[in-house]
Amino acid sequence: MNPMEDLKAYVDGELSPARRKEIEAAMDQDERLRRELEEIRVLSRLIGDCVVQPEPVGLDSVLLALESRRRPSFFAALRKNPLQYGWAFALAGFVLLAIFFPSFKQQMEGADANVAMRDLAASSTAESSAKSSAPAATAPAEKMKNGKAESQYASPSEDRTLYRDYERKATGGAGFGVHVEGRSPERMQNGSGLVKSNGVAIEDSDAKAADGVAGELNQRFEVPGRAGATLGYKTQPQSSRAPGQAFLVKSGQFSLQVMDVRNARVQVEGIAKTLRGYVEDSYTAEPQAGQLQASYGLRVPVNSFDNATTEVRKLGKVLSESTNTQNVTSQVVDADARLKAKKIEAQGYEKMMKGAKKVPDMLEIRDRLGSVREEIESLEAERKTLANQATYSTLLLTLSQPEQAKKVVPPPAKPSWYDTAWNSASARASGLGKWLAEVGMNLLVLAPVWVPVVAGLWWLGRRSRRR
Amino acid sequence: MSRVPDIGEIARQHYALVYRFCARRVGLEAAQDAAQETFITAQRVLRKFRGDSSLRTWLLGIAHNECRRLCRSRRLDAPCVELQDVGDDAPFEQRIVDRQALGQALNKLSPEHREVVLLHEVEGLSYDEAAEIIGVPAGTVKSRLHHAFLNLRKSLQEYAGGVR
Repeated sequence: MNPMEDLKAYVDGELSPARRKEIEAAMDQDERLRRELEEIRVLSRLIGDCVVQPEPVGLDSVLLALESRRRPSFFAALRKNPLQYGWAFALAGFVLLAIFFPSFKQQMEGADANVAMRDLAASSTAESSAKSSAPAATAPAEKMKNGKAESQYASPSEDRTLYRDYERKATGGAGFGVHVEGRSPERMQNGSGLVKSNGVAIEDSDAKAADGVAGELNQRFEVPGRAGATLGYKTQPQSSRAPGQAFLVKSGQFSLQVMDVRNARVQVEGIAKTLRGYVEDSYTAEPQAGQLQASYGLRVPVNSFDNATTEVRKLGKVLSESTNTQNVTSQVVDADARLKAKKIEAQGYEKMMKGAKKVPDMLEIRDRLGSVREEIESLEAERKTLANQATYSTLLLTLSQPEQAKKVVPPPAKPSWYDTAWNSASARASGLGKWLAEVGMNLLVLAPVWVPVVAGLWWLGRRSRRR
Repeated sequence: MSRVPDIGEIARQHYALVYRFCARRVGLEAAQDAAQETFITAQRVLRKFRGDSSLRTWLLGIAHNECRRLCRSRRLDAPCVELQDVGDDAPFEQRIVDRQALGQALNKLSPEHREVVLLHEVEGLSYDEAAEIIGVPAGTVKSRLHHAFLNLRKSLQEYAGGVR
């Protein structure tokens, strides 16, 4: 390389030591090189010394400009001008709303459903309690002016219930659909008059006995109320069948489609346990792989029948349902009346047996007495069956799985709070990711629209800042 | 985490350097604007300063760009290099001749050559620093300086020949 080209760098000290030695060696041999080096050195010094160094002005204005443009911290800026960050908060709020509003809405809908169900249960309880208490409190004497109780309710069923209560008060506590016609209150309180039992007229002489039978039945068939304490329902009074209340045999049949039959069985047993009932019988079949079917006979106290149907409907999709209520009060009363008559008859035969002297008479009396006792036992069994049916209602449940859920592995029955929280957070994160992806796709697709606008605004802002 | 220096302090320390740098490229009238824009830009991008180069080089690089932008937007020409009086120890005629000759020679340089001469000889930057500011390799700076001084000496010789 020509040493002449590196003379300036040599003067400036920008050469490597090896190259410096080469230049120095070359200068030792070349006088012209040394002279040029000296010229460059003088010229360099002259330029550095002679060029004007202008006096700087405007430092204060620069400092002011910098201070005015100094960007405060986020929180300081927020305090100073909160609206400036309104868009950021609006965006954050929108994102949070998009993430949490669906689950919040579901929860609110669930809460509304619970509230509605409780209101419904409360109103039904209040209605039933009103039915039992209001007539006692408001049954005026003038409604019995003609010796016959008048109902203020239009509904036949309500009318029947209240009617019985009126009559119970009129007959001094007896009930069971026995009502008195054409008698003054005084006579009714004395138990005299024409007593009807579901259309079967009993003569005046038997009215007292019938009243006694009714009172005895009321005492014997009190069923303690135990329903639904943990389900949010108001529990019935301890005496579920108040004196004068009818013997109602309630039954229902439900055909349900559930996601998991095994899990539904656990729920059915839970319903039975909660309502103080039991699962009478169960039947499970799997005609094909994954097609599980089951049927259960659920027995619950009759007072919990409505609560039980409500809970059963929550098990799954109701394909069909039917409920039936049968009033067997007349049958019970009839059975008791006949039972009492047969017992009196049996007592008569026993007295006759003691007084019989002849063997043929004794044999005939014994035969009669045997047949009467058979009838008594038959009546007692019939009465016991009716009472049992009126104490516990029956729900026949038929459960089946939908087609798409047959092969689904059942999830754990009760996930822990950690699993629940994790699943919830994962679902929300997934939702957020999907939403961001959707936003990204929209931005990408709409880029020809918004990119020029944003670029133009950015350019205008930059231009205005420059000025 | 390194602390970000205060831009006000930086401006106080380097304003004179930046102002003179700008004054030699856009003139005294626009020098203040260019210097102000330099520090405003530095304030905006100060967080991006990684310390790979010195703060002076970084600021002069910004100022270099600001001066180019200002010249382009205001259609400014590069101002003539102004020389001040040399020392009193030199003879008066010699001093006058040398200053005029040197001024003419500097103004006759191409913008690229004059730029490297100013950066190195006046601002006192090394080849590497000058190369970083104008965005060329250090070898280019060295080459430009070599040719700039060739041209300067040639101009001065022509001037001296003409005077004689």
